[in-house]
Amino acid sequence: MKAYFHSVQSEWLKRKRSATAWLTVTGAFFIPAIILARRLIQHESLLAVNTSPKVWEILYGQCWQYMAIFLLPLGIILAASLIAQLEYKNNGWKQLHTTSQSYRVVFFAKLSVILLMLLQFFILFNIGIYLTGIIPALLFTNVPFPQHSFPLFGFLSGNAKFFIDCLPILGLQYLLSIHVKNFIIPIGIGFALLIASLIALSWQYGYLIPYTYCPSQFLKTNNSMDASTATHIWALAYFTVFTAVNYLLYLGKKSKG
Amino acid sequence: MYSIETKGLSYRYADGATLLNNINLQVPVNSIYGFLGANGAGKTTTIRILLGLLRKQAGEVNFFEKPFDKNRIEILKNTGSLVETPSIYSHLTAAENLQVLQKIYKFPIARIAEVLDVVGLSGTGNKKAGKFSLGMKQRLGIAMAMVHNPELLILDEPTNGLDPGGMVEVRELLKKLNRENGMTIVISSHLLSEVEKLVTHTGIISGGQLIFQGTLQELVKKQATTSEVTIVSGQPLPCLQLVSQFDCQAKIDDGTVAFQCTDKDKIAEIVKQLVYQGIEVYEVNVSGGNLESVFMSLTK
Repeated sequence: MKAYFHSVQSEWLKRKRSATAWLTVTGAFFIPAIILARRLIQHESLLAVNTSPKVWEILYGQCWQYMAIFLLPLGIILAASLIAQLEYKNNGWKQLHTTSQSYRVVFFAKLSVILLMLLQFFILFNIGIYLTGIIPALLFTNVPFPQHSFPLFGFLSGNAKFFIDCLPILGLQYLLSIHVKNFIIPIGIGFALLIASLIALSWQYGYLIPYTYCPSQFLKTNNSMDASTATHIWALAYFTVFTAVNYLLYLGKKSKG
Repeated sequence: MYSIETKGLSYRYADGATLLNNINLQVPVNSIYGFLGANGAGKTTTIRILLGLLRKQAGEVNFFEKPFDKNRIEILKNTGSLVETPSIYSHLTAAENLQVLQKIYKFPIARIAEVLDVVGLSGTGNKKAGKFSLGMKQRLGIAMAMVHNPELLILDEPTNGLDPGGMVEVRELLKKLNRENGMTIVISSHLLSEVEKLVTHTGIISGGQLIFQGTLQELVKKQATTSEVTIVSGQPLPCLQLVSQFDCQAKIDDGTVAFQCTDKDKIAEIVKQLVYQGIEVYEVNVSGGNLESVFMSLTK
């Protein structure tokens, strides 16, 4: 277990100043920054919004609307590919596989770093939503602070569902990115599946496509998928299957660098 | 005792072509082992199999007298390696690249500055490794291989990209590591001249087969079989008879007397006697006779 934590520390250091690290930070603040800009421009109309008991739900909905449907899956596709590219681009696999670590530790430490980055993204994104709520009040005297307390539990629960729903994307993209050297291929497949999933939202059996859960979580009432489907269970199952297959393929690789 | 020993190591491509055939490497403890061969002879493939980067198809690989497969982690803890181009994270500094390994091996953090100093990269500060010259990258690669103070260092063409001064520095560094830390070093190269001043043992691979293995002295003995003296004389027959009196097997080829000899004093005496006996000598040539020519003749 100690070896695993040491490996995660090592992997975490590798992403320092990398494109993936920047993507996580800029991606997390991108939508909140746009919403904030709109609120600042239209600050005169914020009196009603900020005194509304649903102010945080409104901001949450506005931010997640764009994030869940397109940007979050896109970000995961890019981040998972870039993490593996760190090794391909720098001839790193051979160095990594000649350190005194088991293949299991190497595989799961890398996966853990992607999961930690996703968690970091969620935390920063929610901080972004919070700042979107309070910054106009700090800058304009005619704008009150949101009158109702921040619904932490509601946010955590909503975020947890989105987190689970995007795990299949992460699982499949991780599989593709560590087995395909040319990063255009995993990104291309990811894009194609994302578009297919958006189309599949209007299909009763769209839940069979693993990339549909994240957008469908937001468009709960606006899709044709069977409402009784336990999408979170499907998402976890897909993630488990993708990770297991990935691990077996990784162990079976003839050349490890 | 051997730091590395392979038995019957073989490797074939998917199409059946043999890349390695029955390689029996024996790298003695505390030696500097030069693993030599022309480009494409199978050096890197052998090294990749040794380190588990390429799955072994046939044969045994033992490190420190233990099978690699069953003791991989323990063996790699005591082994440092640099295989072909160095694995360097270009967006990190030299120190950060070593920190990546420090997180795994948990050696004292002070060791990073110490090793950077040894390889001459202590002044690189915040410069990203991606902006390093080829030689600096190579030196960082060596630093990454040795930072955890392994017992065994495997370096595949470590002087690639280094200028002559850098090559000498690396050689001196490796000698020092071997002498002071007792580190066993395997260094692969396609140039014998590059490593002959460094190695104690050599293995020569050609066409996927280990065609020579032994100490440097044993390789030197092979010089006699590759060194050839040719004498262009106006009287080849008497010349041949005189040379034969010196226990040299001589032959006449196109009017020229040729024989194998590495003893310079003996060659001088033969020439002296030829002149003394009035046998016309137009030209005396000595070809081969150095380790490079031995290497070339073995790998032909």
